[in-house]
Amino acid sequence: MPRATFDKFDGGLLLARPSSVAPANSLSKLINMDVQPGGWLRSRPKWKQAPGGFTLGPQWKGLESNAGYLWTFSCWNVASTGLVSDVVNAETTERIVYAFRSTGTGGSFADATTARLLGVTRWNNGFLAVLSPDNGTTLYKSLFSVNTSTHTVTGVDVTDVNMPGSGIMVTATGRVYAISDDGQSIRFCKVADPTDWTTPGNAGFLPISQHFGSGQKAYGLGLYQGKLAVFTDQSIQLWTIDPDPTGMALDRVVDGVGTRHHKSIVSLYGDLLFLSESGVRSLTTLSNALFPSDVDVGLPIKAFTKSPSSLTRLANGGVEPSVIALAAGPVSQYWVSAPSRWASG
Amino acid sequence: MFASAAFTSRPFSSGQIPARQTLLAATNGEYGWSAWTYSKTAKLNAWAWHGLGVTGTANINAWSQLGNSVYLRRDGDQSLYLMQPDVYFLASETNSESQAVYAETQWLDFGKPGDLKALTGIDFDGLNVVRVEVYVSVDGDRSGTLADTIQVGDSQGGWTYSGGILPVNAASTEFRLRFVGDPNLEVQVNRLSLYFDDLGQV
Repeated sequence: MPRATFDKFDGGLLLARPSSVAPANSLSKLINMDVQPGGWLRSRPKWKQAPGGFTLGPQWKGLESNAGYLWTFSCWNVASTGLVSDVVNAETTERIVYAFRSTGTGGSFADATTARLLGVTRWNNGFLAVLSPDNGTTLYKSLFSVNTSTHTVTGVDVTDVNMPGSGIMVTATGRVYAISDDGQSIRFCKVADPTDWTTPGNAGFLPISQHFGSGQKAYGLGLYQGKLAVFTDQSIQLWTIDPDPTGMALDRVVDGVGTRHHKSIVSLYGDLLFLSESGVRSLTTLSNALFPSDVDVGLPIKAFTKSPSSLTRLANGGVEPSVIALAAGPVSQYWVSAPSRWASG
Repeated sequence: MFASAAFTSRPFSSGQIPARQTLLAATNGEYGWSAWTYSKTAKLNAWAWHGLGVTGTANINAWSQLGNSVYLRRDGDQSLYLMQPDVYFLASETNSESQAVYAETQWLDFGKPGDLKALTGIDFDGLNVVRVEVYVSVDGDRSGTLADTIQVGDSQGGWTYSGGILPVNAASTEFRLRFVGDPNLEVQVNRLSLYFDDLGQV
């Protein structure tokens, strides 16, 4: 009797080809399972609720990690929320700390669902953050740090008007780089001082719009092999960055691909992955080329990885990014999600 | 291994394929995320879809990695969730995420497009796969009619090669197999052998 044996499924989920011309080692659906080295399939680990009935209200925005803590953020017109830190994993004693910027007194924190975290970037043992109590109309820029003995977060305001409020930022070479509010330049702070965006000869800006095609603006930032990657929706500029501002220069432009979703940009294995208008792509340097180019790593699932038209969405009473991604180290994967847009597999 | 035949090698008598991706309809899926697994050393470059369910709370609000754990917030849900490698549900724990764990093959014609085949049995190597559903294509329509369900369970410890073949009753020109796993436990699909009779041209 004829027999056919499956012993490799290493093609993974493949929706880009009709089944007739798809390799037999690929799959038409793969739900909550992953291909393992060697080609076998295994279900992913499960999401379990943090023990002890821990909850995090919709007034707290985002989830980040730094200095050995999870972080969440908010701002509102109350003097304090009364929250400092909580253990979220009894086994590892991992904690979450609360980064809060008071905008006054007299309010009720229960109403703070309209608070918005426009963006953060790591700075030493804390974050530089752009927050808003009113979904982005009023902005507050704060530099938070944590005392690892008391698990207490403190913050200082950044009052320098030259710091952009876009919230699209990365940290490199002892500086923070941020997209300007109009998306036409990249501002950078003074070396070792993210509260100073003005000192001549130290803080400054990169004139990225000089290299745009018509109508472009910057939407995202990343770091690629020590260079600053500036993403428009149609191109990627790679800038050489340096503590000395005179050492900064445009290195290369990769045309024809980009992203509008800053939170989709993730560095993994030395490459930079992002969600372009045509699916998930990777900025990589191919072994037979000296210059970086983009690779369409998302082609197998292009059928449902549509870039949402809107950069934001409404969730938990506030405004959130429509696309988020993560380098999920414990499972060695790139994750990308566009809630309420993608529902497939 | 065997390969699916090219679309152009289908017999004219089988006609057009009106709804080739019917089973992939996005409206029937779960909200969740796409996961890309990549390894240069293992030559692995594969995608998967991970869901959290079909309700509003299945939307991912935020996530972050800390240490060897990944933490997750969901829309409209004040709980914080964490995932750790190799950790699945215990019998005493409640699954509050997706109830789906499955993998589905492409349409398979065993290299003989247009020939009628009778699937007669399978041998299986896996873990906590509850059942294998066998779908058939009727006159090349690929609508996916369920022809047989093989309850694998933990028969012979998930390894059937040393025992009797699990019987299958399905006949068609093309087949699609869905491996359905236990939603709470570690599930593996390692190897599968299909036994069939070639009944010749339709």
